[in-house]
Amino acid sequence: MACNVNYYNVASGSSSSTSLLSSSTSESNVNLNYLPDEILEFIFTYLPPYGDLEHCSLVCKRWQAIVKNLVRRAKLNLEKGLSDFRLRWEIFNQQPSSSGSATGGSIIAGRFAHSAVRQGNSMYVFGGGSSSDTTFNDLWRFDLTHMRWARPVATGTYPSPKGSASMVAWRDQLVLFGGWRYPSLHPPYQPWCLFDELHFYDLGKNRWLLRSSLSCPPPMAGHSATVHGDRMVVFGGYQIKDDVNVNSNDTWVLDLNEQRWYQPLFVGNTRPSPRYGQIQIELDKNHLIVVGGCGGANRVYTDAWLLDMSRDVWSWKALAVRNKKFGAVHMWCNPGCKVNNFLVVVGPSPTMPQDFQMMKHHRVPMAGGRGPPPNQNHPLQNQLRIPDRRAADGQIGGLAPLRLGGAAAAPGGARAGGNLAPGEQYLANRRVILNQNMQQAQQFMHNNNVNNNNNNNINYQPRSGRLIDLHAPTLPRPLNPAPPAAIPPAPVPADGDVDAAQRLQRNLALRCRDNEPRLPKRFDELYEDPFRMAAFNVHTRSRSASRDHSERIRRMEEKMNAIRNSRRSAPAIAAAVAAAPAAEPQAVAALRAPSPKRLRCNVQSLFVCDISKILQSNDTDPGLDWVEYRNFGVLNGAPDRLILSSLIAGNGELILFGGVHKETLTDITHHVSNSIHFLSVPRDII
Amino acid sequence: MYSFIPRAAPIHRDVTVQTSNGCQYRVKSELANQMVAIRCLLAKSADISVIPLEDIDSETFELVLKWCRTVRDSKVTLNEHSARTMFKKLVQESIDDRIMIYKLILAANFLDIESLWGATTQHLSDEINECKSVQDMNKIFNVK
Repeated sequence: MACNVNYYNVASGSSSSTSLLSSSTSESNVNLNYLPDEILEFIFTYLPPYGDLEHCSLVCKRWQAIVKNLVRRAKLNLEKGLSDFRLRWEIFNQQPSSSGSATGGSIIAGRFAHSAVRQGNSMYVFGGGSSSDTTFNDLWRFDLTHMRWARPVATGTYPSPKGSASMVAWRDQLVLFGGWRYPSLHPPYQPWCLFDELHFYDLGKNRWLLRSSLSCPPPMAGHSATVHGDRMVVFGGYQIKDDVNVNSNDTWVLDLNEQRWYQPLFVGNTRPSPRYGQIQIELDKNHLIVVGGCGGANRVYTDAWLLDMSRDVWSWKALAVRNKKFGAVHMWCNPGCKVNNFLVVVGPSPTMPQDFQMMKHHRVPMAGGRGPPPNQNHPLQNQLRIPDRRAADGQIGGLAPLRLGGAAAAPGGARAGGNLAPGEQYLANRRVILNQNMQQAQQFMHNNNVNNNNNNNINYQPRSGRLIDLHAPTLPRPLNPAPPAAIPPAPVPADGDVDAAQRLQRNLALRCRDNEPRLPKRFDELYEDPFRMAAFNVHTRSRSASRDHSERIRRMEEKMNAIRNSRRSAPAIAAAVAAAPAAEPQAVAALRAPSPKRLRCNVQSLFVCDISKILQSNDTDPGLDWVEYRNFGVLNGAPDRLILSSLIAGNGELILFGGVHKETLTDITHHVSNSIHFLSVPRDII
Repeated sequence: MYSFIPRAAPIHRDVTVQTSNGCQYRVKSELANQMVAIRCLLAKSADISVIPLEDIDSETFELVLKWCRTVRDSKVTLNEHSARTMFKKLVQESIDDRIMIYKLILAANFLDIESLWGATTQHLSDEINECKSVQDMNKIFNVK
């Protein structure tokens, strides 16, 4: 608070002195133009590159030239940073009730599988799944200039709640299509809903409009859409066709002026395989590429296809993907976006050894704050560790869950004594709430078992697991074999034999290694199986709940660390942040105890792909080149590993929002995020 | 200028500095060590008796010295946040008109004092940020 007061005094002092200035004769022409261009440009780099910079460019011609130069340089810097992997993440969490009236107002709730698009200086977010099996249909606007969430008051026909819909910006409208929604709970056991609604949102009038036309695509979700001129091209998705749920590789085009759908004609029969969750990027008015996607369980694609729309009849062309070993994994639940000549994908880190590996070798007592090891040593240590892991392969698999549980509980215990810092108090409260949730969950399950006679799988997963059904569509029927044909039909172990179920999971996972050669061989409980093999997850619920419990605590602690270490504050509340320094240094000291190496392996990595060579006509083999990453693509301040978040391009930076912790999808309450992460060039490198 | 700090040896003796209007200042070694340009100059030719500063006048240089003294005396580690508060205090105490801030920026640039450079530019950009409209900016910064 003291700093605020000082600042305002200074400001008023300056403005009164400028009036003095204009009256004095010798200094009457002094102004900011006194400073040379480069210095002015450097000053402008401090400003958030959205509304404020635009204002600056309107001040005078010289400033306009400087701002233009700055924008150009920021773009170049971002590209250079992407190819060198020299960027950093900053987190932004708008506090709901701090700093008085400056940031009052509601903030967005955490969500995943939402749609996000950038228009002007704002990011618009719509819908998505919530933390507790409901779907949103709210539209939020994040003002990038003031770094504030706002909820536009909209009129018209509101869309139904939906997630995984496609939303694109066209002129001054947003176009929303498709999506899925959690079934409502009363009456129970309803199927998933997929939508084929098309909505337009007029940004000027704040009005939703529903459009229906005669020939309309089937209801779909997980499709991708881009705008080319006055057309919106939609591809793929998970659809209901003739009462069957199936992945599709159809293309539909919407004429945005006439609001009429049609299906284009294609040359030949080559098409990408059916998929959903792919990344679709617009290259220019007549070209787009589709990368990745998922075609069902164990069929994650990493190929790329180019759609040529320049002639009346369109054609698909498969593209060569080079340097695949540096490519992104899981390009179906992780977002990607285009930055000039690059495709940027965020995803789980590749060959990094799993958490408990790190703890096995480097778990130092928690209380003595060890300084963060320098970055350069890290890849070296990785190399040293990997042969070790292979040697000890056999034993580690069996010990995996126990070790994780044990080690994860330890840091919580070590720090629980003594006075609780505010962060820890929050964690303690959270533990209480989680305990209550778990008790309720167990109560629910018990009631369900008692009340229902037929031993359906659905009983054991009362309100969750629906998203998983989406991805492995035949699982709800226990008699049908699950999609990977080699696996025996889903047995429902009558006894709660946890170890047998886990062993089964591991064996199943081993059979589908060929798609993901980069993933560690056996330590999959955290990684793959809870999401794919929903049916087998049934009886590990109680155990996984407690394991996830401590996982969640640990993740929360890491998140607090990430916040402490890399915070990005809105300009209006920068003073407020400065005014509350008292709590921070102590909290930093207390929370720096967990070794930063632990932080890094549970975070997102960046994958960058060069797409500049696709459209060059003199290239006989157009394709994508993945850029070789440094440090496994893990950058400073990286966010937690979440899936189904959204990534859009800002001015000289990338904006990541939302997402869910995959491991929590089988719990009653999913752990979703509502924080925004900015990926930008660190200041010193300019 | 921005990130590269030349590896010049720290100075151990006091230096004499002459500003543009002829005044000479005897600068203690610990203050002169913050001015990287002086360090580089002395590293190249160690036998300079008086260092001329043609672009910096006395008033500005005294403010620079004051800043260096504050940095030397402060017990808090110098990060962005503490530099901001320190600079605001300095501005409130000793700077009357805006042109002094500009001159300070130029002096920090010339003498290569990273802390002062960061604090002054941050301060100015905060002021620009505070402006709500283009007209405000025109008025406050006296720009056409």
